[in-house]
Amino acid sequence: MSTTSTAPFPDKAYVQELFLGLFGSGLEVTESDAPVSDLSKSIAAFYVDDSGEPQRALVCDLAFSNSTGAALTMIPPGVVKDAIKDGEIPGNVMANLNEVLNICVNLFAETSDKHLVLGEILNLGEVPAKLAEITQHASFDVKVPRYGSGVVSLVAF
Amino acid sequence: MKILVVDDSKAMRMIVIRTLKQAGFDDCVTLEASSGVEALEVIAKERPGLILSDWNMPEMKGIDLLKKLRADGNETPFGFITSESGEDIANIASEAGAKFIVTKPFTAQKFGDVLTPILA
Repeated sequence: MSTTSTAPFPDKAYVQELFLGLFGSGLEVTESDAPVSDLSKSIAAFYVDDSGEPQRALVCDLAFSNSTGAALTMIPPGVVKDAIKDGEIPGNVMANLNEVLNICVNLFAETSDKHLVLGEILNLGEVPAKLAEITQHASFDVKVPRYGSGVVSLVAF
Repeated sequence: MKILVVDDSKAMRMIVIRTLKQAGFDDCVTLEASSGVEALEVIAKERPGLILSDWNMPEMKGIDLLKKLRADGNETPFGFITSESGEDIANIASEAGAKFIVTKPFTAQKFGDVLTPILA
């Protein structure tokens, strides 16, 4: 992905507010110049309109996926560290991540004029390389207290 | 009072119950159901005093659960805790008889604000 952003995306404050609601105080969000680049080690969630057409997506790197998934139900941070080192997302963390991604539809609540719901989630190794060709995105580094930081890219089609 | 939490996500049921306690409703007995269909069974057996339901669930959506209850004459207070947002959704919920919608993510403060008038 390049770093252009012409589509309407939420700003840093909006993104931070949503994640603060999920993970509590101490969470930090910063804008990231670098989008998620290693798609082979990423998760992608697609948000579809009422006709089923993808309108937005989130691309989550391994660290974001593990840290947010684990933090949701306070799975021990050590699990995250080991998972990132092994290039994996444990099953219980992935189940939680699905719920995080479901809630993240509200990242687009004020910047999409369509009603969106979470559609398909592509797991590690399933994210197509062509997603890197999409130029409309905004990326954020999300640091979850005790769990570490990871990058999530918001994508518009 | 018994509070039934309906959500297909086990993690979210856990978080809702945890937030109920943080909001000061720790004297309530919490029940769980992972779908609208399962919720109907729990409601018939346990007679909860409040139902907190997700909107999007497989088998039976939260809104269909609410409509089914009202069609059967069950007037148990019912609220949605959902990632859905927007006026359309709020109107549909209200017309079906929902007391409130709390959008995820939520806080203990928000739970307190909407539930205190109902549970008082």
